Amino acid sequence: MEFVVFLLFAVIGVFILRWLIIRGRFQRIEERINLLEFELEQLKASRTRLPAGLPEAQAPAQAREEAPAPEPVVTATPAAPPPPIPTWEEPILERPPQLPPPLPVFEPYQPAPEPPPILEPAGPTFSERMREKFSQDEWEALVGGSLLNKLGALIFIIGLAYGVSYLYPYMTPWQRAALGLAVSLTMLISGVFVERKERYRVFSRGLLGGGWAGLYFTTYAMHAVDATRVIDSPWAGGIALILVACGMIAHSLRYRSQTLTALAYFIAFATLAITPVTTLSVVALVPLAASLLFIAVRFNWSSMALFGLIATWGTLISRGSSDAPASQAQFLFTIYWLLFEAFDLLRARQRTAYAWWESLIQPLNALAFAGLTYLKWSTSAPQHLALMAALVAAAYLASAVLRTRLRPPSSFSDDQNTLTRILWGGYEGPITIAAALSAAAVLLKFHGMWATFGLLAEAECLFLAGLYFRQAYPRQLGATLFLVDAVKMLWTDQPVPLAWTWPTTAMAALFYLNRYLQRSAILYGYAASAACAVLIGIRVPEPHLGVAWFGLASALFAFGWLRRLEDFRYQAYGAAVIALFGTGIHQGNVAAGVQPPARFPWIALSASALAAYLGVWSALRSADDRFGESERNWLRTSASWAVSALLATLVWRIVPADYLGLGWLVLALALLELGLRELPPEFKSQSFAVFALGACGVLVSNIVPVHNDGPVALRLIPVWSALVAYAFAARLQMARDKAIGITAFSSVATFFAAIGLWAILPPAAVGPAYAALALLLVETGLSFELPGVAAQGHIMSVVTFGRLFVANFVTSGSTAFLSHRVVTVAPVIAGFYHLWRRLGDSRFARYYVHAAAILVVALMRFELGRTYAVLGWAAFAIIVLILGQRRDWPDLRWQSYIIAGLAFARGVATGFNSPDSFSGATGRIGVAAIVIACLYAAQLLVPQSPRREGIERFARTYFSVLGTVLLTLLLFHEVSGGILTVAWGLEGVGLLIAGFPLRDRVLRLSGLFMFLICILKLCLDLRNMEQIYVILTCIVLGLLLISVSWVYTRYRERIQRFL
Amino acid sequence: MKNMRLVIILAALAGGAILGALGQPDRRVSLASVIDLWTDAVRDADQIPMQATRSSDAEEMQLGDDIAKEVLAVNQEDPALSIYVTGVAAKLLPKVDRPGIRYKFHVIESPAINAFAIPGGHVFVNRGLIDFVDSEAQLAAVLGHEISHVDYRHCIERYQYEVKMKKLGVPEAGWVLAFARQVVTLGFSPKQELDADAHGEMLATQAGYNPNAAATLFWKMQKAFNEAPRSSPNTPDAEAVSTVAGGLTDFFRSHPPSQDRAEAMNNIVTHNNTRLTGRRFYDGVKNLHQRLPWSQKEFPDEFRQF
Repeated sequence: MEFVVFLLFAVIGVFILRWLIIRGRFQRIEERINLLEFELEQLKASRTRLPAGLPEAQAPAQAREEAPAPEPVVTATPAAPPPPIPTWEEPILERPPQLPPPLPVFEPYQPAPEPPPILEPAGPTFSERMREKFSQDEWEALVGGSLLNKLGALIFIIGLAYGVSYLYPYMTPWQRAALGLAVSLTMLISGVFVERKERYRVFSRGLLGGGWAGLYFTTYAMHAVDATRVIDSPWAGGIALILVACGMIAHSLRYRSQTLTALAYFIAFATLAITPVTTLSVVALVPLAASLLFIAVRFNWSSMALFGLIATWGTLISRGSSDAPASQAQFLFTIYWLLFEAFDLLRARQRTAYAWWESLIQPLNALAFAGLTYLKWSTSAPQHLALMAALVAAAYLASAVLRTRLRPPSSFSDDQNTLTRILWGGYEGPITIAAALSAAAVLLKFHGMWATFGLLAEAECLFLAGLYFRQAYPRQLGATLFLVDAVKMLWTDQPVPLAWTWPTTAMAALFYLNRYLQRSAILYGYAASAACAVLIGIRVPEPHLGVAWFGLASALFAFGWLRRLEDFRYQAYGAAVIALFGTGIHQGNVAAGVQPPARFPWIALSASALAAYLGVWSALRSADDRFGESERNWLRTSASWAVSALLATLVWRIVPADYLGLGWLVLALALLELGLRELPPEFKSQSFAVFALGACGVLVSNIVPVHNDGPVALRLIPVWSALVAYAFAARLQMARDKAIGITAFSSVATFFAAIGLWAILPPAAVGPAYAALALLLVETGLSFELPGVAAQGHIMSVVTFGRLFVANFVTSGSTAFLSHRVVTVAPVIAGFYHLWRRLGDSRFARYYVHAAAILVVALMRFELGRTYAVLGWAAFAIIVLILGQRRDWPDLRWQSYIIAGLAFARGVATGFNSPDSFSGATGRIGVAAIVIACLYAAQLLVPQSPRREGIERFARTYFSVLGTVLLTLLLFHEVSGGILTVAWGLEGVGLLIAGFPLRDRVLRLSGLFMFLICILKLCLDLRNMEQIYVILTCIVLGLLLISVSWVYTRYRERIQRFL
Repeated sequence: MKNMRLVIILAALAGGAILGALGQPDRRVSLASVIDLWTDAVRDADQIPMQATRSSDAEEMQLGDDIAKEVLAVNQEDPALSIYVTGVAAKLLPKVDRPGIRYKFHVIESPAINAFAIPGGHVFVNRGLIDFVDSEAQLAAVLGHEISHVDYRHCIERYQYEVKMKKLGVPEAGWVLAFARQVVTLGFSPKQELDADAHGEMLATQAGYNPNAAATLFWKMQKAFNEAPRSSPNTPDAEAVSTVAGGLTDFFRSHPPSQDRAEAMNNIVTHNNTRLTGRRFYDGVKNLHQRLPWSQKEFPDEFRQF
């Protein structure tokens, strides 16, 4: 079964190889045909355009003189024909990497106005041409005559092999060998005979190849195959094989056909592959491969070399593991390797470009050699595997050395990269393999720390070699090996502190040394510093890691600063970042309880902050040649951020949790001061961040869980925070830095102050405190032209206003007979009036005067009770009316109108009856009298002449009507039904009497109206009233009316003056 | 001048805050003041149509008699105790604002601690309440409270629109108006209760009963009904929740908390202290136990000097 599979793959391989060869050949033929057709068309075109009577030789010259120089003609189709393609048999040592040479330019004779000549299409397409070829005999001959017969030969040989196997029970070894020889020689001789005729030449090659293969196999079988063994000596068998091989080679050389030779060799290799494993079968590969390589070199058939390499190693691999001693097998491997390596060396000596298959020879050879070596030694003598790896590495090192002579780096152009050099025979390939195998040897031989040291040594050697020979590639290999070593150490070496310490130390030392040896190798400086950082990381306890790294950063920075070495400074920056990170990790662990806090955490953090600030200081104070401008700025900014972060962390660690936010706010204030003094200026913006942090801290730690009944010290924290925040905003204001939101900072302060005041004061005292805060804010805003601060004051005023309603108006406490309502609300009202006057024409002013009035009204309501509030309201209405009249403040006048209306409405609704008072009718009447008196007083205060415009012209009438209606209702409630009419009549008289001297028409009309009401009431009461009351009422009312009438008549002229 | 004014105001604010923090500061924080102002306004507005559609005393009493029949149809009256209660109330009636109303007092056989009044002067007192009070003065406070509901027209105002519209032949309109008024005057009830408490306190006090009896009764009710004392929130969010939730609760409840009522009684006594100081007031513990009203038998040792 394995044999069939092998055959199948072999056939496929042959087909692929053959197809590749044929394809290349067709492409070249096709390109050549295109070129020829193009040239033919050009010639035809020039011939047809040649003017009559003009000698052909002169025409182009004349055309050049008369016509302007024509533009080169460019077409989409292949405008430039390909270069002449060498035949397969020609040496292809140097592939043409460049563009094909330019075609000769045919410049047709053409008058100027005529369009330029247009090239005709180059000819039929590829498919058309392929169809043409299919119809030709050549194609048929190629397929039917060449491929088929070779296939047949292959099958025949295989059948022969099977036949021999089948007949062996019946035949003696001599018979079998003779049969094989007869058949092979028959084919060979037939081939020689047939090839003389041209028609069967292709066919003959199959017979020749098969014959040679059969001859080779038979010779091989005469010693190696038991069934046909007639030669016992392996050496005799080997010599016979060598002779046959030589014959094949000699014969193939006669034809100079790579295909034929390849087929022959393939058959030979295949035959060896299917035979039992013996020493000879393995050794026989050597002459076979050697002969193949000789042919390849001799005729420059480099693809044959690749074929030989694949066939040789493939055959060997197909044998599988043998029982031969490892040393013998290794010897054989080495010979094979040497064969192909030597071929490649010879190829490299030509110092020309490789074809792609040539580039594969070296890596495939190395792969097969190293792979088989590994497989052999790993199974038979694994203890020597490292040694073998070292030996192979040495061999490749030798190859590399040789290549530096045969194919020196100077033979490559500068634009050819390393991969090209590796593929084209440079020393880079072997030295890479040598380096890899050396590393493998080290890893196989040593373990842990010693393996790391070994790799380090190898890498350093490579680096030094590169430095010595002024070659970059070895240095790059060394760097790669350093990297591999580092990764290996990081990945595998355990336990960490023990296994890493000395290798890391060595790395740091070597890297710094390399940095010293090669000034341009700044990456080694970075690597060395990284090694130092790792060393610190594994040796220094976690609490001190941050400061240790900062120490490293400081040292690097100092060195870079002193020597003006930029890379060391950047290493310092990196170390500082790591230090910050380490500090953060440690502090996070402490916060999470993973690590116990350090005994003196401030030492490490302070030292780190100091180190970072030294960086800031150096950026501020260093001379111009120490830093570039961008680095200076960057350093100043980043180091100052580090300082801020470290100081914030320091505060976090040393300040109790309840005071953390406050501590950050204080730190922000300090940073702001430094920033404003430009030490450095970046601190200013950072102070904002720290301020935000502190504000959040206060919010989370002190505001959210705030209580108004806890320890005073804790409740005071928001107040202190507010003071610090106000100081922050004030300092900004002093710096005239209005670009930054002073409003924002003061807003935070105001918020904290509001919460703090709430927390430390009893509910009733919060309102006045808020009002004081609002006053101060508004005053500050107005004085310093800070509208944002003033706006905060307004907001606090609103809060105060609301606070009074939920806390102060509902309170029932008192101190020394002074109601808490009065003592807390009255100053607020005063403050509001002050703000009203202070704000002048501001749009907020009116809000304050109305808010104050509302507070007065509400205070009276809650202080005097629902009913008796009218007393205060009426008085207040008088006061604001007076002020409004005298100062011409319309807002106050309108307030008086509204408040009087309120007093009137409440009086009507309650009838001045207060459930809370035991005063009874006395109280009711007394209160009502006062209210009514106030209303009439208000009427009198309003001028009679209509000075006001609009609805205010009726103010006097308004107050008068309110007073009269209230008086009427009072009488209604307090006078019994029988004499109510009389009472109302008396009221009308009184109004009339008052109306004359006061020259108040409203009063007089009110009096008359009262009389009308009395008459109507009398009419209504006649049915229900007792007789005596009816009489009395009628008499009194009649008298009154008469009296009034008389007065009007008697003093008509005088009255006329009052009207 | 401006600065001086500012300093004075700031000093006044500081003084106010200090005074507010001294003494016995009341830590209550609520929307009660806002609700008070709102109900004040609504009650003022409500009085205009109410006064325009007043029912006569006769109409009210007729309505009350009808309702009382229905109440007594489903509840058993204790005639003996009714007589006792009527005797106690007799000392309160001379000071009522509406002398035209003929008050009738009924004691119902019910263990619930309750009393209520209906239009027209019918006052119903449960036996459980009489057993609950400690003195005749406390019973007088209760009776004064129920009399005040009638005297202040709280009872008839609930039926006023219905009565008027029924009189005009459109009872449906009366129902609609009554319902609308119920909605508008939703927050009235606690205020009317407090007004009735105050007026009842005045009636009882002027009749000679101990002014502190009402407050004592309300403190006792707070304990008996397991009413939680008012708490003082100590965080801003708790204060906000308490303010809003407490305000809404107060608005929708039918009766104020007993603590508020007791404190209101104390405030009334304090405000009228000058009128009360030096006077002797009657407790009537023995009268209550013996079911003999003070008007019928006076025990000298029941007097207290105020």
